[in-house]
Amino acid sequence: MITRRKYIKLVAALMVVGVLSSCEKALEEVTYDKFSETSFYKTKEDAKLAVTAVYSTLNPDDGYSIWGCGLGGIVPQSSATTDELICSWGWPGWPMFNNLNLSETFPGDALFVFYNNLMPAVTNATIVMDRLSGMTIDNKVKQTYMGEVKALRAHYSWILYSYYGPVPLRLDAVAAADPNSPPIARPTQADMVAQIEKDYKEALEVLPLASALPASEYGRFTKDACMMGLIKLYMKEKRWDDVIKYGRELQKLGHSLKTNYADIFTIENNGDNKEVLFAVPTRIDAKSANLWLAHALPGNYADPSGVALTQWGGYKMPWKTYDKFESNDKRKQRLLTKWTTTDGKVYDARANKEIGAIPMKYGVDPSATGEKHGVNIVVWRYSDVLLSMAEAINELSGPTQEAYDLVKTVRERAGLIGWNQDLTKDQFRKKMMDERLYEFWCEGGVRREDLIRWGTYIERAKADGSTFAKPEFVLWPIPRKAINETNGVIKQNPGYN
Amino acid sequence: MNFNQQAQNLCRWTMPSSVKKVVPAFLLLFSSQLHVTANAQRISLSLNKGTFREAVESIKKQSGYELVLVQTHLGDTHPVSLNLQNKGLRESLEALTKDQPVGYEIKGNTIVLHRKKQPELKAEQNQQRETINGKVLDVGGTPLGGVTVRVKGSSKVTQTDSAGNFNIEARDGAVLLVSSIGFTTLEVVGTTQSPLNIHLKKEDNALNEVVVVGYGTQKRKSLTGSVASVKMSDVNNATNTNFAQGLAGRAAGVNVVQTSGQPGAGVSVQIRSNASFASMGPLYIVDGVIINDDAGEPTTNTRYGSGGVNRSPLNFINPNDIENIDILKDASATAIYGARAAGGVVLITTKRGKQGLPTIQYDFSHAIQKSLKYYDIFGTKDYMLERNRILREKWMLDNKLGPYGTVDPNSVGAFVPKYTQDQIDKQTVYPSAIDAIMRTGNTQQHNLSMSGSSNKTNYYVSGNYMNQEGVLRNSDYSRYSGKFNLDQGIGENIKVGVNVIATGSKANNGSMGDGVYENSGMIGAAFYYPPTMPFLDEQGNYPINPDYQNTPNPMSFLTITDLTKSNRWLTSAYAEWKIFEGLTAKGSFSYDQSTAKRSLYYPRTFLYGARAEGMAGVFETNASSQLREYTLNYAKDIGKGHLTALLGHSYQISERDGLNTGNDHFPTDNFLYYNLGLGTAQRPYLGSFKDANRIWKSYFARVVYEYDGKYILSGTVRKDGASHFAANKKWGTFPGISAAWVASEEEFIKAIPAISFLKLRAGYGSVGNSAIGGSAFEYYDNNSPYVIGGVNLPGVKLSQISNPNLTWETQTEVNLGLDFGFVKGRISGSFDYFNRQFTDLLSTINLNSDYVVRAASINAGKTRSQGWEVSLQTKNFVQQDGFNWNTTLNFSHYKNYWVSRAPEAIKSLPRYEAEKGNFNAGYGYLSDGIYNPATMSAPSWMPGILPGEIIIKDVNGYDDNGNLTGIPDGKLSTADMVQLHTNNDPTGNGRPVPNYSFGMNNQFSYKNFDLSVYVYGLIQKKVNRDYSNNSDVYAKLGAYGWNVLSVAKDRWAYDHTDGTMPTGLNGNYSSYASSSDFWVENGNFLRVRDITLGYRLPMSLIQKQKTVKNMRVYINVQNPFIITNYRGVDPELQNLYAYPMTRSFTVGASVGF
Repeated sequence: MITRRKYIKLVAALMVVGVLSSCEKALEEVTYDKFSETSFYKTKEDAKLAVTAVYSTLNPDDGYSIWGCGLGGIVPQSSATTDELICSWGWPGWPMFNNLNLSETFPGDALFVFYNNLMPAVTNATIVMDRLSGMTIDNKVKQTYMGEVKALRAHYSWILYSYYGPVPLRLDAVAAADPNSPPIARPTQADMVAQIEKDYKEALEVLPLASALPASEYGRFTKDACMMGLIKLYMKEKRWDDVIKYGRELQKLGHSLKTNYADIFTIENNGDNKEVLFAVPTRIDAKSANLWLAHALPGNYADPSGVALTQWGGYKMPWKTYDKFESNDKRKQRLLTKWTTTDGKVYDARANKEIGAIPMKYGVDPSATGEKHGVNIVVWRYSDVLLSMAEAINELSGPTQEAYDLVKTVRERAGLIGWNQDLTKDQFRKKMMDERLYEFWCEGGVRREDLIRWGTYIERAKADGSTFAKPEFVLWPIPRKAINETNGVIKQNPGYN
Repeated sequence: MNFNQQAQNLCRWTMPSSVKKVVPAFLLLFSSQLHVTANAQRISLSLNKGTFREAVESIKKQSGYELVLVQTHLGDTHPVSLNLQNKGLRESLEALTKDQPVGYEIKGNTIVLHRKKQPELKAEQNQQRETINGKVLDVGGTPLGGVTVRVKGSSKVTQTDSAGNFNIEARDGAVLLVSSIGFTTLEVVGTTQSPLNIHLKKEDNALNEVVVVGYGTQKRKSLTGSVASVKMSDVNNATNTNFAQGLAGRAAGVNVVQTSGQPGAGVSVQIRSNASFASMGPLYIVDGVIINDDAGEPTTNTRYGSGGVNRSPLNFINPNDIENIDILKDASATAIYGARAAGGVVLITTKRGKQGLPTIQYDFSHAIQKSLKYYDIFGTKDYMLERNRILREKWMLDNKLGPYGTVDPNSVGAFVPKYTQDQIDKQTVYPSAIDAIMRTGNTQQHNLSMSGSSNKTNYYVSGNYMNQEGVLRNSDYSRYSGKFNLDQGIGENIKVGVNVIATGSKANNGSMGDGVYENSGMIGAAFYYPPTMPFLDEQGNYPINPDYQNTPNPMSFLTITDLTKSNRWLTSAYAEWKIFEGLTAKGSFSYDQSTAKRSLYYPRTFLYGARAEGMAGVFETNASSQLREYTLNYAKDIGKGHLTALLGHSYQISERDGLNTGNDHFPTDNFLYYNLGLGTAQRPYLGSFKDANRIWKSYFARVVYEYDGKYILSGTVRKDGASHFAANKKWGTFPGISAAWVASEEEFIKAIPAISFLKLRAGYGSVGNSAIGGSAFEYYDNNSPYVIGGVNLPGVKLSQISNPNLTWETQTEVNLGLDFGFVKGRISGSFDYFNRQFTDLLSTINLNSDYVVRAASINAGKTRSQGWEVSLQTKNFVQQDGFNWNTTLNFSHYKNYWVSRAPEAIKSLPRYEAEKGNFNAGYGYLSDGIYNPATMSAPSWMPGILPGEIIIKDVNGYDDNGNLTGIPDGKLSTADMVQLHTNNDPTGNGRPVPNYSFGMNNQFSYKNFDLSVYVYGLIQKKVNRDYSNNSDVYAKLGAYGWNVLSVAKDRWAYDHTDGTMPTGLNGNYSSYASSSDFWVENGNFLRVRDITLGYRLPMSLIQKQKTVKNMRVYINVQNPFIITNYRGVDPELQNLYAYPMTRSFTVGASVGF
């Protein structure tokens, strides 16, 4: 019934719409502020960006990751489950750490932090290595980047191993890149150790010596750091020969102890390669910042520098532990028992029934405006090489002169004399247990590893009145999610089911 | 004769001394009631030879009706002698006009007097056989078929044909009664000289209400889908910054939950149930323009982020400019909006110029607001006593004294309390810090609008100013908005129009969030503030709690400057061309742009300003969206049937970007953020972003066929394409089909007088949800920086995985509805049952624990949602003695459950959670009272349980493979979790999903008074987070010296072993206790939301002057009270740190000129 005239009008209308809609854009997505699937992993700069991201897992971030200073960090978890650290805050997790009241329902999922952060970090490292190897960039640059990523993968794997035992690392690049890869079962202890060892050793081959690392690259993994990583692994495995072997290697590389113990932990020491073998560099304006002072300093503390600091006042070293230090040990100077308060008076913590001394450890960053400081977080130091060697030598051949000398070097820096050289192997070991506390308190996650190696970790908690500590608690529980999603292919650690 | 012309003639006074005078006073609220009860007015009149005019005026006054008469019509009227006692209006008028040359007509609430025609007075025998012919059209000029034309006073009757033409045998001057269902019956004086052109007006009746259904309108009577309508005139918007706040409980199946009382705050709107995680909320459409793209509130780089700012993007529409809101609920109705309609569609129709004389309307309101009750917290002395008490408990625990151990109290030193009795006695008592940060809020609104038409131009212009000072100091919101709207006809067939909404707003953000510890906002800080300290010390500094020096002083928040300025321009234009009769083409274009800028400065008086030596930031976001739409509409009568068809194309592109800057270490606080360069931060803060543009292309069509006013069939289809899906998943097709049967049009129903209306509806349709968070593509983001060589290097890592299979979530819905009217429409309403299925459920699932990216959007399963809703309108009292009472009531219920889950989702599903079952379930542990060592032995599965801890039931365990064993294993683990309640919010925003919700509005009127009382409520369970978070009394009060809820007194303690709250000490099982059903409460409530009392000035008063045409004054109280057993601060509020809800008292007036 449409007349010709109507028809023409209709066609005209449709044509106008046709013309108007022809200026429409296609349904393609364009990104403006991030890389897309096809625009990344192209240039040398992309490689650097990707490698930096592998490092970023070390970030202290908001206090909830690996080398952070909050309850999700290695140092607080290591220290709080030993005799080193208690916390005066009301969060229920603190006494639970100290009592080794561990379970998969631990408040704040604190025991899952390392697993949840490091398993993906290992996977990412595997992917980055694979993508790097396919890039056409300068070969030397590529090899160094590959080495760094390997060293980081080894480091992350080592922490996982230390806290969860052998875990199924994603080492196959294809499976790593696929979110739906089939689950893999937990490896044997030997395989796990061999993997960490392999990564470190391969990294060690291509990475520069610490002494050759320009200041502009400070913070990257070096040959020296890889050797230290191996020493940590061998100590845990009690492979004393290997400890000594790499210790001796490191001794040849020009490392030495800083004259003053306290100076290791100051902003002036940022960039030190002589004593510090590995540190997490920080800045007050970066994600990576040092929040230790905020956690440790009490609210009424007035810093002599006059800088207004954030002072949450949580961390304390129990008096019982503090009192073990020799009275003239210079390492005690970073533990506060009395301080000048904001109103100019001297405050005596013990007299005021505080629960312990303040483990200040780090120096103040004068530019700090809040909780963030830019003092590098020390992970590994040369004195650990010396004391580890001394312990390894003692374990192998008893207290030799070399062992005594190594200990002496460390003690002299603290203003103390060497040990009387009349110790039995066992006495030497026992003294070493205390010496390592004095040297490494609240540092590097050392205390927990040490106590576990000496078999005193669970004992300590029981001695302090814990009714919860079980021998299995030398390992943390695997997140229930990992067990569920693998349908039981990954098994929970004993004691947690 | 053209009826409109006639009407205009009637409206003109012709006496020289008089000026044009019309009385349109027409309260929407009452128009329908007056209309319905037109015959029931009682009139008493006693006159002896009075003038006709006098008599009419008297009747008018008594009836409250308006009067329209032409002065010349009064010529030849005889003196009136009447004695009427308590007669009806019609009866009285009949008596009055019986022997007069003037007749009457009642239209709505207006009495129109007109001149009786000679012929009517003539004797029947003089009649000649003549015919009157003419055409009946609607107001828009569309011919009306099937209209009954009857000769008044005779049995002659005919009907118009499909072209609206009729032909009837009648004398010249005969009065014709023209009637059709849905139209106001008209009396027309016929003439045999020329054909009549009669325009019928649509009857003002709910069933004939025009409902906007998306790309068109439909009569409510012919609706086949489920559509709720809210007339904005029913809602008191005096304190509402946006219309959504006024929707709560107004329509069945529309859940509106307000979680903050902040000025300008948003509300969560949910239409029917949503068994979906991708809750994108409803699609909002203003006069055809999708307005969901907004710049949004910029996020700051401070510890507060975007904290504390809850601002609705809908604030830009002045609620006073809104005429109607139509809410499309079921999928057969929403399918016309396809891929974006899964959250329902809210269609907003703004006011436009109407045919008739220009009107000017001015509304004013002033409200004062008070915060609703706040929790009771400890006063100074109680605070000190309780602090001593909890510290003693801790000391007993630490020293293992009874009941915490068996150590001999004499073997440990004495407990040293924090405060000595002397200190407590001498302590100055300070007022509550909560009171100190509160004030009386104030809201003022001025609204002026002009509208009218001349020739083919219709216009509407309005301006609005609103200023709301919140009940929390330093929080306010002010808005200026303007609307301009013009429709212009060009010739017979073309119409063009423009519509501009421009809004600027300014807000002080005041409260800074609902964080805790050092992220505490003002409310948190005030709540924690020890009542043993002044707010300001003698030196004028803001003191800080010495035992926790990281929460700023609550009053110091008031020294912060934190402003958000937002602007939005919504411009649209259209052109409509009637190509030929029945076929109309329309093209429209709109441009929606918005900006928001937040500027803040922390001075040295504020803790975090002091630490940064002054900190400033400016944060900006911009958004724009272009929409182009072209439609073809076709309407045709085919016999008894009527067909309408629609074909359209739509294209939209949206952009959003932003810029953030900041600096700190300023030499002075003087310059705020106006001189950022003055700061000396190590590295000033810099950032910018631009989202990927979102492009939508759509094609849609709709056909509606109505037969004989009884059977209606409607079909819709929309094909949508979106840029954020992968190549092969970009396009989706969404059909909808529905039908209705108006049973009351059938003769056998018509025979039942009690049934005035009955319609059955059935609909089926599917719509999409595309809220996948980002897109289906792989992204690498600069999210992983690291410091190397002292430089903070950027680090780039995979941040989003690609998912080429990701597709729309599809919601398929069956809707069955029944609309009814009984007892001549005195009871009317509807009932709807729906069954929705959500397939390809969009869900963020956790990827494997070892994968680089933690989570991804996938299509994770299938859910179903079933429910029903009832809405009811009753006219309880009608007009006897002028008293009227109407009630509207709605009630809805639904339940959501899983049908199946994708393997990827099952993989990471906790074992205790059912694969199928309730979608909104909340899981936790079963509690079994409080452990009291004096009366019971410790549960064996809870070694080390502290006296006073909550006992948790051991009900299950894990085997070696992590599977549930189903038998208690003698210890607690996540295996012991069970479903605790069924109305948990799956999006984790803490807004419970109510099982039942209802709303009821009662409107009363008596003479010139009107009163409405509006209540609503929810039936739900709610976890009392306020109590559970405050159960660690030692951690808060003991260690940090924070104030706590005074219910802390009820805790179990050595000296209070019948305490009803658990111990204030940190238990060994606190993580179980905090997620146990101990804290699940009955959160049912009934809230009286709004009471309004209005008074309309009587016409007799107004008539004496010539400017004001009508005037109404009112008082209103909002949130006067709530009935609930919930022990928390408010069953609707999220937590106690959130901006409190308010009660307000308003006075207002509306004046029409």
